[in-house]
Amino acid sequence: MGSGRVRVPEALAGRGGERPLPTFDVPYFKYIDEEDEEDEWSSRSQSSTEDDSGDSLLSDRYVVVSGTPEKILEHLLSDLHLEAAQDKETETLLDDFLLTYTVFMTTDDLCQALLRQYPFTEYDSDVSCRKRKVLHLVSQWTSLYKDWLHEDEHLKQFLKTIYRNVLDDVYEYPVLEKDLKEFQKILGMHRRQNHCCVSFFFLFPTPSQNKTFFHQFSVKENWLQHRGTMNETEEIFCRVYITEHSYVSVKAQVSSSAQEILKIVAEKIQYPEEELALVAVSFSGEKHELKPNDLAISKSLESSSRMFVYRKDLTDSLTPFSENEELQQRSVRILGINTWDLALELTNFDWSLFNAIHEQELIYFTFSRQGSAENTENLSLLLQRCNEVQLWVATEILLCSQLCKRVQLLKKFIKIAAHCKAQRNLNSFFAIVMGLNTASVSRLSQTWEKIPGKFKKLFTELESLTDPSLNHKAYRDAFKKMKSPKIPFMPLLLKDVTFIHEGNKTFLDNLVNFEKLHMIADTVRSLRHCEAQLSDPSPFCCLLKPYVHHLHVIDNQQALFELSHRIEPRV
Amino acid sequence: MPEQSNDYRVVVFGAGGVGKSSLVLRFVKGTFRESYIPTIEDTYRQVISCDKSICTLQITDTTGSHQFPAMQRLSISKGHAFILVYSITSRQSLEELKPIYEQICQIKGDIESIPIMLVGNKNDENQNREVESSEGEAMAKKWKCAFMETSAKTNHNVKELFQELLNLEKRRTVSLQIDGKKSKQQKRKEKLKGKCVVM
Repeated sequence: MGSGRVRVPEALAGRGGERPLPTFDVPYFKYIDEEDEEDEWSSRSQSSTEDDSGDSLLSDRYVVVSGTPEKILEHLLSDLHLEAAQDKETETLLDDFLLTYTVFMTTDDLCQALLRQYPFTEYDSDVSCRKRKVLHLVSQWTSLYKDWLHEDEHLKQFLKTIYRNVLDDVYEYPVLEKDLKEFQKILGMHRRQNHCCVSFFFLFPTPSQNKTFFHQFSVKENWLQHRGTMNETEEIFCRVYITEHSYVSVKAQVSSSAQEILKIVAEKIQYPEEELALVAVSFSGEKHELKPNDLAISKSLESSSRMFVYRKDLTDSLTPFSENEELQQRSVRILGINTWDLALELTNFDWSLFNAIHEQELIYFTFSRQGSAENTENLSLLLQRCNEVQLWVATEILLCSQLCKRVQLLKKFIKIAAHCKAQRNLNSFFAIVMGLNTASVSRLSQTWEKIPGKFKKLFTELESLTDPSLNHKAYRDAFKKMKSPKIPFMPLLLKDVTFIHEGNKTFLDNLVNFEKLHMIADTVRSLRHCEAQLSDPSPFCCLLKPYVHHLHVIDNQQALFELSHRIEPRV
Repeated sequence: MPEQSNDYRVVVFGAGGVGKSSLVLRFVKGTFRESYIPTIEDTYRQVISCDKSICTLQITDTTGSHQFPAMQRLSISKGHAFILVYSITSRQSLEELKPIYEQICQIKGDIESIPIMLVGNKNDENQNREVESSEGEAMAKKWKCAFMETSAKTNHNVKELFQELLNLEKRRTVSLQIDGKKSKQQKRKEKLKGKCVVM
């Protein structure tokens, strides 16, 4: 003991023999039925908005409140069942632990701890049992993290060591065979993803084989779109500025050439590709034209300069677009598109972004403060998309100078928002409604006046869902009622995780505050209830895709306000 | 939802890490709880007594939503009063309030009729001070809003902050008188009184 504590609740002690004290060496526990804690627990049950049947309140069990990492792990292992079905508590504990361990221990720590738990020489009757439990945990771990951890050297080393151990042990404990198979499957799965066939003997390393093994393991350099897609290259949203304040957001691979990007942009702004050129403009004003085969996106570009598209004129000199001319001219294409199809394409795109998000990203996002984008790439894409859809709605409306068309456009967007809600894509739904609610759009009283009452009513209804009152109660209730598959409004989910993080300490008296981590894991797990849906390629997508995927937006509020005042001057 | 008509929404803004949630938690809960659960709707509510009736103070904490300008705008358009928090240990955090203040001006228009409080939090960390009180005051003067320094950690000026903010409300319909459980009974009594008709 010493590093872990058991709290003996007074109420429990009073009950004497009926409920024996736990005999296992455990971390800090809280007894769920504890009476003096009633208030706290009942408030908790009220608050559990997600179906957290995981900690059923009537259960006769203890939940881990805090402990040292090692003790929690030890307890977890002692509670694991090897039979197929785990009881809910253990399953939740295992999941909590695996989802959040990065907060209180490194992957290396966990590997070392697991190796310590994997018994070597003891002649204990349940040695094989312990071994199997460790293996079970490892297989859960690797399947939960998918290729998230592929690059981790410690883990590679660990998997290798443990695999060797199992192979050694399997003669002595035949019962391990099943687990060995399972384990091979895990390793096999990794290899299949890497499109290479390495036979298993690489795990008995001669130095050179060892090297190949590492090499094969690291073929897949990134983990983006790991859920089933074969895409080997990381994708980002790349901003190509047309004017000072407006850009086309192009989803492209990092390895895209300037030509590929230019093609997309040219199509987007309906301008002949030959007459355009990509130019990197640094903040000091230096310009550098990108040649067709240059890599368009480099990390250095992102931080120090912006990419512009310039016109080539007859003498091949480059001139930028001016703020008014090109933007004003763009045809209001959206008016000719069926709103349901458009919403469907928005939803498909969101699904592709949402599916790529790893649960871990939310935890990294929260714990590693703003600024460091490490390990949150997919999440950031979805968040960026959310902001861009919102800007897009405002941009489209404010660039439409004809009142009657603007009224139609507004109606269209209200419909699209309603369709997104019907398609259970709350992320785009929120973005569109918030776009319509932007001050520069909502001040257009002439336009709003001409909206038929039916649409106004619909919009009020939709808007009420975004009401932040009672911590977004309206949205939470509606979302809870929705059937899966559904896409949540991600910013709010992140806000919840941030709040749990900031409202609670991670360590209490040098022990891990596991209750907090459970809450975080619970919130993160809500992603699972949304169920991944493979985006289904609709027949219209070839036409709509470029339109919906690459949005042309004005990202400057001041510029949007100026447009707003131009089309409907202040009275 | 008729009860919501009575709600008075206070929105808390500030850069990451300045102690927005700590202030809110300190005010709502009185102390830091060991386990704090945010999704519960009541978390950000405080029943307060107004001139004549009870009303609910709703606090919208924008923690974790710095990356979402749209969400900020949503909060602004729905908010009645604003608390702009910076940390006295970070000049940067004061700088970051400027765009938010400008947003509020843009969306709300007539800024002088809206209660806004500029708050320098982490008042207990005087040894790391980067922003002098006088600078905060000067900024508040420029922004035509009130100013206060607080510490959520030592509970310095936290209740006063909300009190002052509500005093700024020109309509004078709300003032702060917190009392937790009693208020529910009071509410009931008031309701009863309200229904009494003398013939």
